[in-house]
Amino acid sequence: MIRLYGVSKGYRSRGSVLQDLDLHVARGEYVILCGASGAGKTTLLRIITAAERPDAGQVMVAGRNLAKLKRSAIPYLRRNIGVIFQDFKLLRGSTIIENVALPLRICGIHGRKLRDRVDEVLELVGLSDEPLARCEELSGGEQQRVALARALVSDPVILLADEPTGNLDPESTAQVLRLLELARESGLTVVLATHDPQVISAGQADRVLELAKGGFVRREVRSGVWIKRSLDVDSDGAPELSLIL
Amino acid sequence: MFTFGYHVKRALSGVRGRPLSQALTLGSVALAFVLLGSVFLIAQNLNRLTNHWGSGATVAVDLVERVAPADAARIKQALKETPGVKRVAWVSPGQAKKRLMRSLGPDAKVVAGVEESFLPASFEVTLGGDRTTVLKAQQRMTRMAGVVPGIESVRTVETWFHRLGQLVAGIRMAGVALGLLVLLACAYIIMATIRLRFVDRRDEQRVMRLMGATERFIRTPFLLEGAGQGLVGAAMAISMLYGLFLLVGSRAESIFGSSVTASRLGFLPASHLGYGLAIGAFCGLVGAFIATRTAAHD
Repeated sequence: MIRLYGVSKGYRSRGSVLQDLDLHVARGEYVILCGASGAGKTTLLRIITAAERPDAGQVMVAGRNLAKLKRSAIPYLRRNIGVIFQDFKLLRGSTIIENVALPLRICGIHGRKLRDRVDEVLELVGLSDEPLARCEELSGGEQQRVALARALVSDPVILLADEPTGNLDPESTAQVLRLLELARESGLTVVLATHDPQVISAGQADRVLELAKGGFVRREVRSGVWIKRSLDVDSDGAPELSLIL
Repeated sequence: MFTFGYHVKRALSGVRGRPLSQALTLGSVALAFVLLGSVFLIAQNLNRLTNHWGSGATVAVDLVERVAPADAARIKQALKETPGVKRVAWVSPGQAKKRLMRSLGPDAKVVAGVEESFLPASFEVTLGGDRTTVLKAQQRMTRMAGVVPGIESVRTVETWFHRLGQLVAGIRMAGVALGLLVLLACAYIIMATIRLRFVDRRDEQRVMRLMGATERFIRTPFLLEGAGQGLVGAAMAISMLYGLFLLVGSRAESIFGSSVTASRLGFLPASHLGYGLAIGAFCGLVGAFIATRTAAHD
């Protein structure tokens, strides 16, 4: 689902952030990227969403080579990717429904189909009671659940979460992690960037990869599911597989 | 269609979010359009008031001495066939002398002893129609002098008419030049407002882009807002201009004299108002287009 070959990225102000990085995330896999602040987790996620171009290397997302992707095609690629952030990034002054419906509107979906799908996702994240509440009136945990509903509403194949629990209390963190687990169970590929030990130790992910000094310094496989899935779905993923085994 | 409705809603929510800046923008656009509309309104009414001034004007077509009757008849026919000519009257040398003496009043005795044949026979041509028709008729008759056998000279008030026409055309040209400046100014004002609002909502746009929004989806509400500002500004200008027109019209006689009464003045025609609204909307659209395009690439 996501493949990075020899990806490097640097900034003038920060120097090299990623160096010759290889990553292969299989369909339906749940991967946690951890590491200290500035380790390159967010940069990696931004490269996957085509928000940044790598200085070197190749990136394949959902079967598309991002280097060969036309600028005009990027929005259509992104419609396959749901993203949530530490600071939620909800639309100011908008209601829960308006926020959650946005990706559907972007895809040109409207009317009953839109309302039904929004209701369905709000039910899933437990926010169907007050759909017309303004987002500013919600707690941090609720806001993150709105953001999660927004990320899931258009049925993406990949979910990227950038420090999704960074602003949440332990109870809300557990709620969000449960929802991410549900998303993974429905077949979604989940990549979560965090430095929160509670998230890393929650034991949900198939793999935990630690980023430091531009590369992965620790690769921890927690579930045989990933190896099985990789063999089933991406039999050509041998280099990555052999590295982990 | 449904997406368009959503964009309109977003544009309106943007308008509601910044009422003061909206009011300032609309006020500036409206004032600029009032200025432009005033020039066109003045030109139009000047044209309207002077348009019939030429009707009833006379032209004297002087004939050569001892003109042949056949030539005189041919000249009379040619003059009658000229567009804008209402009447052609023969003025004999005797009649010409009488008229001259009448016009000289107490000094008539100066020419009393002059022979009748001293003055040429002529045709007195009375013109009708609007200013352009009268001017063209005069120009045509002037060209006949020296070309058509039997015509010695043609005396017209063409120069005065030409100058009047030039004045109206000049005001119109000034209106067009001012119009271009006003359009630029309006587009710039709207561009600056939209640019600020676009930059203000940059975080939101980043999120939308990450969700797969195209640039068109992101920019459309701002384009609608810009077009709306131009349209509403132009509509406000029309209302203000009409109020001004009524005010001036009610006092026209006391300001300009009895020849300019309210009933002889007219407001801009509906087609001009339609163009004004369309130009306002177009201006706003162009301003918003430039604002969103440059801001998106910053």
